[in-house]
Parts: sequence; C-alpha cells; structure tokens
Amino acid sequence: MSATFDDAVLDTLFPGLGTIPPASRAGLDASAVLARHGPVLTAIEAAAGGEAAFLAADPGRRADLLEAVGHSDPAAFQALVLAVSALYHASASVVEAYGWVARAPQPEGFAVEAPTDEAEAARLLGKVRARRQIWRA
Amino acid sequence: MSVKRLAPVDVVVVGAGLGAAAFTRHLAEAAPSWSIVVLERGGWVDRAALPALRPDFQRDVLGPYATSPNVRLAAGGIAPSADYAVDDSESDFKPLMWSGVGGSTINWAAHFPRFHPSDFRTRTLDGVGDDWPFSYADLEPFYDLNDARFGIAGLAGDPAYPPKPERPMPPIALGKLGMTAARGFDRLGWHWWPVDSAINSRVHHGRPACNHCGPCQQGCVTGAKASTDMTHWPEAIARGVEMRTGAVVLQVEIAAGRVTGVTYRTAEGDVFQPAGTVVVAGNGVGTARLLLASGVTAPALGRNLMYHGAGYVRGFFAEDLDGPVGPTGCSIYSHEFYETDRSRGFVRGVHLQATRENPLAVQAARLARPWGEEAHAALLREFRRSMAILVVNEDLPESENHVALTGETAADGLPGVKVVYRLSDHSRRALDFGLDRAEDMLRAAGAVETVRVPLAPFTGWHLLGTARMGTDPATSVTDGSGRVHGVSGLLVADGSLFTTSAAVNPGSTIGAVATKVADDLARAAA
Ligand SMILES: Cc1cc2nc3c(=O)[nH]c(=O)nc-3n(C[C@H](O)[C@H](O)[C@H](O)COP(=O)(O)OP(=O)(O)OC[C@H]3O[C@@H](n4cnc5c(N)ncnc54)[C@H](O)[C@@H]3O)c2cc1C
Ligand code: SF4
Repeated sequence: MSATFDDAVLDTLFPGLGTIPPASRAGLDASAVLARHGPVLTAIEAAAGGEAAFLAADPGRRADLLEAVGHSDPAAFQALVLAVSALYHASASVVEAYGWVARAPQPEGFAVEAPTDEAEAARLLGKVRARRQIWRA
Repeated sequence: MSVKRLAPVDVVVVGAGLGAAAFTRHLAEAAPSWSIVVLERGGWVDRAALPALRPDFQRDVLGPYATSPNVRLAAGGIAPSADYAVDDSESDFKPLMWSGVGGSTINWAAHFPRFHPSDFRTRTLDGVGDDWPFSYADLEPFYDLNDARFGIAGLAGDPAYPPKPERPMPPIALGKLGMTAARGFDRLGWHWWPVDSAINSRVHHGRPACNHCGPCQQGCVTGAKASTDMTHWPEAIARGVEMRTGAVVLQVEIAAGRVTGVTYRTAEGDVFQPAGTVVVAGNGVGTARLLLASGVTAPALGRNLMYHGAGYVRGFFAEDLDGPVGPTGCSIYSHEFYETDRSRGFVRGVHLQATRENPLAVQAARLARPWGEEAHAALLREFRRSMAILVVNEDLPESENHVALTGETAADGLPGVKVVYRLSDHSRRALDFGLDRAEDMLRAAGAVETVRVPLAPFTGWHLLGTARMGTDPATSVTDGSGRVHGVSGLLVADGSLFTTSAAVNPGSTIGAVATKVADDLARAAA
C-alpha cells in the first residue's frame, strides 16, 4: 500500500477542522501502527475496489467505506481507530489546536486554581457540617 | 528442573502490594525478632522512567502504561509490572492492577475513603450479603494506624463518618471543577465533602506536595501520591524485612494440613523457601489463583468476586473547568445516598464522586464515535469543560461471580486465570438510581448537556472477596484474623478477604484489615 493511500485513510479517520490539522499533517509516525493493523487497511482497499478507487473517492465516500469495514469487523476497526487516535491526540500540533499546552506534565506540573471565593467553600461546607450525622450507627 | 532449597524463615509474604505492605510493616514492628521474607513477582518502579516526564505521555496511558494488565501486555509489556494475562472475556468489568513492589498502589488514584460502620453489618441491618467477623469499632484503631503510615490529606468534620483523627494535611485543592460540583450538590441540599486522599497536599513524611500534573494512574513521578513502595516498604526493610523481587510464587506447599513454605520461580531457577507461616497477598485475582493452584479446597475460594458496580454521567459545561490537571479521583464526593432507604427499591447505597478530566487522547478514546469530523466536534465541545460523576454501588457477594483456573499453564508457570462476572439486577437498580442522581446534580451544577455511561468496563479497579473472611468454613475462606480455615500457618492479607464490598474504594480498608491480621498474628504468638 502506498504512502498516499495510508495518508488518505489517516485523514478520513482524523480530518482537519479549523486550526486542528488532519492526521497526515500532524507530524505522526504512524507506520508501525498501520503495519500492525494491515488487515484493516487491506479490507478498506478491497471495499473501495482498489487503492486508486479509494484515492479517487470524495471524503464522504471514503468515510462510508471505513464505516462499512467497521461494520464487517468492528473489533479490528476499533483497534485501528484507537491506535491512530492515541498517536494523533498526543501530537503537539493537535494538543495545541485544542487549546492545551504540549509539554510533559512533569516536572513543572500545573496550577489548580483556588476558588475565587475561599469563603464560599467554607460557607457551603458549614451547611453540610451542620447535619452532624448522616451515617447509620 | 531441580529446586534449590533455602534456609527456613518465620514468615513468607507473597506479593508486595497494598495489603502485603500494611501487613509486613506492622508485623516487623510487632514481632521484631521474626525473620520475614517478601516475594514479589515484579520489580521496583523507576520514577524517572514514568510517562509523565515525556511530552508524548498520552500514548502510554492507552498502551504500555494502561491500567489493564491485558492492555499493557498487548502493548509489549513493561518491566516493573510483571503482568500476567487474565481472561476477562466473561466479565462485565475488566480487572485492573499493577504487579510490582507497591502493587496496585503504583497506579491507583489514592482516593482513601473508609467503610461506614453499617458496611460491616449488611446481613443484620439489611438482610443481604454477610456480616464481617468484626465491627467498624474493632477496625478503627487499625484504620488510624494505617492512615498515619500512608499520610492523608483531608478535612475533619464530615458528617458521613464517625469522627476520624485530624488529617495532617488539608484536602487537595478543589479547583474550578470541585467548586462547580460543590455548588451543584449544595443547590440540591445534598451532602458533599472533600475526599480523604493518600496524596500529599503539602510536604509530608519527606515526600513533596502534589503539583497537579494529572496522570496519577500511570504512576506518580514526584512521589506526592502515596504508594507502598514509598510509604511502607522502606520502613519494613529498615526493620529487617527481606524483599526479593522477580519472584513468582508457584505453589504454597502444604503437608498434613499445615504450610511448609512456598516454591517460587526466578530468572535463575525454582526455589523452595521453607517457612512457618505463609501470608498470601496477591490481590483478589492473584491470591485466588495461587491458592487454587496450591490445592486449597475451601468451597468459597475464588467465589464471590466483587469489583463494585460502576458507571458515569459526564456533564459538559459552557465554561472552562480546570482541564486534565490534578489528581483524577481526588476532588469531592457525596454520601447523600449511601445508607439504605428501602423506598428506592434496593438496599445498601451508592457513592457519587466528582472526577477530574483526562488527557485529550483519553477523552478522545471515550467518544461514542471516536473518529471522523464528528469526533472533533464532540471533543471540542467537551475538552476542558467536562466533569464526570462516578457512581459506585455496593456489589453484593454472589457465588457465581468468580476467579477460576483455565486449565492451561501460563507463561509465568502458574495455571492461567479467568474471571467470570455479571452485573447483578441489584447492582443495575442501584447504579441506575445513582446515575439519575448524578444527572440531577450535574444539571444543578450548570451542565448544558449530560451523557450517561451506564456501565464502564474499564473500572475493574477493586478485586475483592475471593478469599473472604467469615466464621463458617462452608461460606468463607478465612477467619476474622485472615487464617485460612483448615490449613495451619496459611494466612491471607489483601482485598480478597473482603466479606462484602461497601460502596467505596477499598484501599484504606485493605490496609486496616491487613494491619489487624498482622496484629492478631503477633498477639497469638506472644
Ligand atoms: C488504576 C487503579 C486505580 C485505583 N484507585 C484506587 C483508589 O483511588 N482508591 C482505592 O482505595 N483503591 C484504588 N484502587 C484499588 C487498590 O489499588 C487495590 O484495591 C489495592 O492495591 C489492592 O491491594 P491488594 O493488596 O489486594 O493487592 P495489590 O496491591 O494488587 O498487590 C498484589 C501484589 O501481589 C503480587 N503477586 C500476585 N501474585 C503473585 C505471585 N504468585 N507471586 C509473587 N507476587 C505475586 C502482584 O505482583 C502485586 O504486586 C485502584 C486500582 C487501580 C488498578
Ligand atoms: S497529580 Fe499529583 S499525585 Fe497525581 S501523579 Fe501528579 S503529582 Fe502525583
């Protein structure tokens, strides 16, 4: 299967939207994942009537073909989707396009905002505390 | 293969997880002259190798550092967790665990609730399950001891519980998510409280404060989250306990109704370790597997597997909450519906817990349709704006839910293991009730949309009940001191001891019970 075909499948799984890049332009190295799920790609190719036919199809038709393969072997298709999804959503350009920071969580960590009104938490808790005992002796 | 025979010791502990650590840490202090050897199939965690230090950490969350051993094995396996496959094809929930020093506390969320007093008397109070062979009051001193050894962040004064000792640290910061949830509970007039967590909210016991990095269930890089490789084992080892890692126990050896020791496998070969007492703490799956493989014949062995029923309601908000930061499971909870109210159509109760958001890739994997343009639309709507209310119900012991051997020999040399579990009608009713309440709460908190996840398969965090305590050898495996009926010198000290499951996470109770088992053993010998 050609790299163009692989990219077309990836982009059908995860097309771009606004600033979110399509999978083929998100800097993924998907070759190992695609190799592991080769039979699903072969099934997509067969459903389309060949690689060229898949490439010639418009995005809607490509999505229908993937959908059909998903119906005929849901477990295998789901496994491909989740494997590509993990790579795609971990890629820096996608994380940033979703408005998050693309860095390791450590060693910096993150701030969890204190409540804007500290007194509010205390006041709400005071109401609960006043209930004294709600456990069954 | 020839088996090397070692010099005898007083006590062999199988496993180095939560129960094993609480047991051994206490025994080393209560019986300082005893020789104690711990055999753990996995190794120590290298915190510098954990995923949170890598920018692409999210990939590991769903692969080599997933919470399911089966998923980790499928991703190639990782060294410090010496995983074994569990056939979970006939189980509604998938068993989750970690096999290495620290056991499942390496990847736990460290939410640290106690049982309620009523949880120990479900038969007497509600006519279901069984009473434990001891009460909350009997266990209370061991809860207190074990709490101190873990180090708990929390807030005194919770009316859902009998008074607990003052916590040495304040609760983990609530953040926007916690406050939004608190307002929701408050608007409905329902109980809520910051959770007790075994996570440092400030420097404590030489470990740092949590810096809210997020992926607690892939191991905590900083050590702010308590896991027994840091909290209990160093102290036990300092008191003379010997830890042997990479040691898969294949057989508890029993002759004429008494243990003689264990045979275990290492990379160098098989070894027989003679011992006067053998304490098995391999968790609800591993303990049942080993005892069944060793020919222990108690009728209740492997039976009554309890996970807790679990489902979610996810709420989406118009405004940003905190995003995928902070300890996932440690925010606030409600026990408004914890105690029995027969008008609900079921007995026992439900625990509601506000949980924090996951990293983008995990949120994406949970979408109903996780690919195509719609997936982007759905993820844009929820990412940074979602909160899940986890509903946990009291899973009642049922003999049909069980751990069994497969009949084949697995790669580690033990018989293969499978879990068979179906969610009961009781659990379904309780969960549905809890999910309705979670929806009420999310709407009250301002959610613009809610999505119900009636059953969440990858919530098999709690592996309980398969070597349960009791007084009747026909329906239980051990007595109230963890001693296996009919086999002298054989004890259990982990989650498999649970007579019933309550509706809360078990870690705090596993630790307290295992501490009590050690205390009873030392006293009996004194
Ligand atoms: C992802 C996740 C999140 C969780 N979150 C929470 C939470 O927030 N709060 C809470 O209370 N609980 C939580 N739990 C559950 C909690 O971690 C477990 O209930 C607890 O660790 C179980 O203790 P245990 O002693 O029964 O077994 P474990 O801690 O699982 O330890 C068993 C040990 O035995 C070893 N072993 C097994 N068989 C053998 C053998 N044959 N030879 C040698 N060694 C063996 C294993 O390698 C393992 O290290 C969570 C669990 C997971 C997986
Ligand atoms: S959020 Fe806190 S407790 Fe969890 S892994 Fe990060 S530092 Fe550790």
